[in-house]
Amino acid sequence: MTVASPPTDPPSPVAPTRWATDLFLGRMTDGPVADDPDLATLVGLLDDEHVRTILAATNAEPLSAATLSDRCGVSTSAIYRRVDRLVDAGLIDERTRPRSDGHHDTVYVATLERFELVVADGEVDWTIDRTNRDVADELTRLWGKF
Amino acid sequence: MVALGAAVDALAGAAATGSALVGLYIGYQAYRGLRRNDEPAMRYLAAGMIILFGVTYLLAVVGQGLIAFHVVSIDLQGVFRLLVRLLQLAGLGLIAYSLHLAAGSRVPGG
Repeated sequence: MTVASPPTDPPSPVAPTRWATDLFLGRMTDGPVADDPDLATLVGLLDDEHVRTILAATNAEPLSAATLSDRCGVSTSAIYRRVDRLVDAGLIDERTRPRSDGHHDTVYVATLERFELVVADGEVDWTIDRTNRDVADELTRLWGKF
Repeated sequence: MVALGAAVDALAGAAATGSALVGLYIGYQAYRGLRRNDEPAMRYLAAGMIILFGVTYLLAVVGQGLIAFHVVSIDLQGVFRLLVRLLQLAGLGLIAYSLHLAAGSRVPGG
């Protein structure tokens, strides 16, 4: 018998080492992070090839919807549908990047680092680990804010 | 007193190595910031940090080594010091320039 249960001890959205990074970079704490998505939402998202491409590509570097559209070979509206669901699920982060002409680019960064499914003690349990924001991105952002 | 002096020298060397490593770490993150975000300001920040901490440290160590092993005359100690100071100035100049680039690309109120 399979019972999909939410994590008994949901991982804290703030990783233990994060305060040190916050301190080092003088960063303000973010607002509340969305609760973990349920397992069906998560697995449904990961079942999509383009979603996996988006996660992999935005893990390497922050990318705009237009660039993701090129990488996946699908239209930008198809990309927006997916990134909206990924942002809602807390698997990627949306950022704005100032351009030299004064406009903003919206870019996406993967926050999902690990998704673990554990079958033990007659239960199916799962956890998501999210990455801390990348130090290099934070440095870039902060340097621009001075 | 000699032992104390040697210990102080060793600590000073360790602290210099430590600041070179931390400076290079920040320079490395700035370089990653350049690669990940295509932000030109990060190019000068990375170059500035690497010159300010990495290149000056290397030059100081090499200079001390060359003098200690009598490869070059001790009279050149001042020249090495001057070069290190000039590189520090160049590194800081690059960082200041980067700061202005970053401020220039910022959207007011954005």
